[in-house]
Amino acid sequence: MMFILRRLLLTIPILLLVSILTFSLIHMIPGDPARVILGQEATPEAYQALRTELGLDKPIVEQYFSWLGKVVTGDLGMSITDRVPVIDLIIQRLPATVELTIGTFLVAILIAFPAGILAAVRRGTWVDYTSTFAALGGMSIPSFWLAMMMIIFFAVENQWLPSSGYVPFSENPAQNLMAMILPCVATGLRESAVLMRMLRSSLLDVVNMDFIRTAKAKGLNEARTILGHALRNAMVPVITTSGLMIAGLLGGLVITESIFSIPGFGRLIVESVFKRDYVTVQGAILVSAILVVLVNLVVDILYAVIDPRIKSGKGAGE
Amino acid sequence: MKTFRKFLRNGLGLIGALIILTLIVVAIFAPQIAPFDPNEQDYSKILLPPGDEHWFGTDDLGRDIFSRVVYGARISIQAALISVGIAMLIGVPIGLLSGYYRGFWDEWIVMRSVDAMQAFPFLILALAISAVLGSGFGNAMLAIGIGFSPAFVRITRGQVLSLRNMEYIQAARSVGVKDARIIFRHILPNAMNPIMIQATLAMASGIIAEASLSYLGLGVQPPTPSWGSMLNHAQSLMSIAPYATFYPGIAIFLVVLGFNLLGDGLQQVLDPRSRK
Repeated sequence: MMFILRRLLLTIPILLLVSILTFSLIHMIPGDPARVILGQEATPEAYQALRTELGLDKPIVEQYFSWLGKVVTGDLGMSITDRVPVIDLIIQRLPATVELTIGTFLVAILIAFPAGILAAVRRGTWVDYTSTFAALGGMSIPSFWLAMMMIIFFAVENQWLPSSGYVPFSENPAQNLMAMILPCVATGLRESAVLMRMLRSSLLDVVNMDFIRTAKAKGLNEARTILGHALRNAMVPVITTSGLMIAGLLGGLVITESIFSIPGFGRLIVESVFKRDYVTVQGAILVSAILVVLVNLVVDILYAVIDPRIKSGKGAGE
Repeated sequence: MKTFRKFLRNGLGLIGALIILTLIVVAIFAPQIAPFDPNEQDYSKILLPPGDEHWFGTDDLGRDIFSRVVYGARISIQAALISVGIAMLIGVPIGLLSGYYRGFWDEWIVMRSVDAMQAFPFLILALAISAVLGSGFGNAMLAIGIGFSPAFVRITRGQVLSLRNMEYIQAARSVGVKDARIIFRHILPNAMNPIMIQATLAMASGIIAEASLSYLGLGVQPPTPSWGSMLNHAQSLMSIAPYATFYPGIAIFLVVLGFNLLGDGLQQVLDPRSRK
């Protein structure tokens, strides 16, 4: 409990700095933000109204605390172009992104675990070399290009799967799943390569440890030794990678959602960037950073569950 | 020399180095290699499939795709070098000073700011910075460089922490060598190996990030040929000219693979602890 509390307390300064960086975004706009957002033709009334709405007529410190006060109550401001609360826009777009993240993660795990375990167990054989080289190749493929290649093969040439579009799961589960296959596989393949490399490397550290030798000496077969003993001990770095992966995925999905026309959180950011709706961009990147901080918090707590030495402050390697 | 010989024996690292070398040669000699002007439009030759005259075919404006891919190498190599250069210029000095002097600034300002910056999904941060500063290659490089810098702060600081208490540093301090000289003459050269490995791997990510921003329309602006903007343009041609999508993507893949192989090879040679 103390560990979780300490970890929660550490999150507070990070969130405060995240809020300062996000707040600074509008102030990084060269020149007057209200003038840039509205353009040179805006009337003086519209210009003044936007300055008041964004709080630009107040001193900067006052602006920050007033903005922060609203943010903690869930008020991320009003979208400049859509005139609806930014938080509503985000909530509307999150389900598609969450589904895409879960699907991508599943694809990554389904490929990475068998390949990583096989590569570690058959170290130095053709299985190891092939999967290691395939992983390096996988890490080098730009996922948006892979997505386009898959659209050409599976949707344009063969019409096996839809090329784009999104149907909510609650409306039509079958159509939803069909539409999600290509985006999840296109993004998940690259992630599986990263995860596979980490799992292989982490397992190689563990399989040479004394307790594994003892397990083998006591007659335990290879499958039970690896799956029952080595894998759990190799999980800490793998979970770290998975946590980082989710953060990276939120970024990567910006492109996947654009290619497949999925109305998700990433596409909201891209659309807002092009509409110069900086209030929505600001709100969306704040939410993405908070999500990443929370994922990292969950990952740290998971460490302690998997490896009790972390909870007692001794560290995994000691 | 010994390290270089060890690197030459590392097959995959060598393949990576050869790919990068090819990229550099192609980028330098693009005008000699490309058979056509990359921006020349020929409406009598639109959407020609790959053939003898146009090896990679032509796009919907009649531009030669091979020539555009060749010129795109220039943008990619610049993207790799400039974005990582900016990240190193920001990250390495901060990491050096923070790790050497430690204390409140290191613990609570620098490292917590690094944590905060790493909380932003990289591409979203780069997208937001590009959006604020405006689209274009220079701003995209700045956005990617700023996004990469926390990783360099972290890795440099980690190295300094392990080096600052070594005997040779303490000896230098005890004979009155100034801090700046200790940091830049004695610590930095010994901290360079992991920084160089990180730089090589970051170049791979820099190329993908530039291509991603250009694909979204926030990086290199038309008609300048960049692999990302070529893919953006080719997306609308997927059903009629799939080859227009194929070649720029293969080029990105090969170059990123080259940097990843080189980074892996360097890691095995320069950081033997990582060898498995």
